[in-house]
Amino acid sequence: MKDPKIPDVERKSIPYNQRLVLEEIGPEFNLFIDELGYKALNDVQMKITPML
Amino acid sequence: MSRFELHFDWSPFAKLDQFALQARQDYNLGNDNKWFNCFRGGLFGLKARLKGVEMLYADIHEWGKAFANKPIEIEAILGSLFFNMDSVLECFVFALNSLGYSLDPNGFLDIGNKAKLKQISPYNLIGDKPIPGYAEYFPQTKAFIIEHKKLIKLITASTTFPSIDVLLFKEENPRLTRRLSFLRRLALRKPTKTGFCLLPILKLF
Repeated sequence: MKDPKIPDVERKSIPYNQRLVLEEIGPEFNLFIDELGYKALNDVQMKITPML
Repeated sequence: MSRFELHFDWSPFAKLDQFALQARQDYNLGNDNKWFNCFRGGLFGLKARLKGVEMLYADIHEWGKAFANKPIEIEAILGSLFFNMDSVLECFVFALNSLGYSLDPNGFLDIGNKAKLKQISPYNLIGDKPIPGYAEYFPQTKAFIIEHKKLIKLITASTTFPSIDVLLFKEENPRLTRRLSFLRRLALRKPTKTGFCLLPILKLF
């Protein structure tokens, strides 16, 4: 039987993994992928286009 | 304050696709070993996984999906999110490897060799034994990925579930060997090229 005096910590706190995704990985991954696409495009234009 | 949504910029990848289409023409590189099919497969996989990341990231913020549910359900969403992020990286490297292979077969992994294809990962660029072609043809991309090594390691480490890996590699092709009864009910005696879309999803390699 659940003791009502004991706060439900699990449900009130945000798990570490979720906090990590929300505050760090998500936005950082977004910026990383956006920039990565342009880096690859630059490489293709500079290195491969002259070979065609 | 955290952002509630992620939105990825697809325009550079669309330009890459247009470039590859031009390169694939017979008057340019041609399509030996069907490199363009591999390239486009990787790019389409990348697009699908990015969509998955956007959707799952939104799920984390949605009442009734993550916040109001049990921790195990939150973990399920986070696990899927990390799988999609990991697959984004693999799909991207797969596409670059295909394009690179069309220019320099010795500088990249053989796209006709299944065993070699299983080795494709971001660590082809940042690992102890990097594939040489990336430094030659994709120097900016390689430098940028090395710069973000910490993020990549965190993502790949978060998707290491030995039981799933064992399942994927123990059977020859679980995507084809499973659910045959399901296919039979659809009057498909065996998996066909047109029937692949009915099969359960499989991690790329």
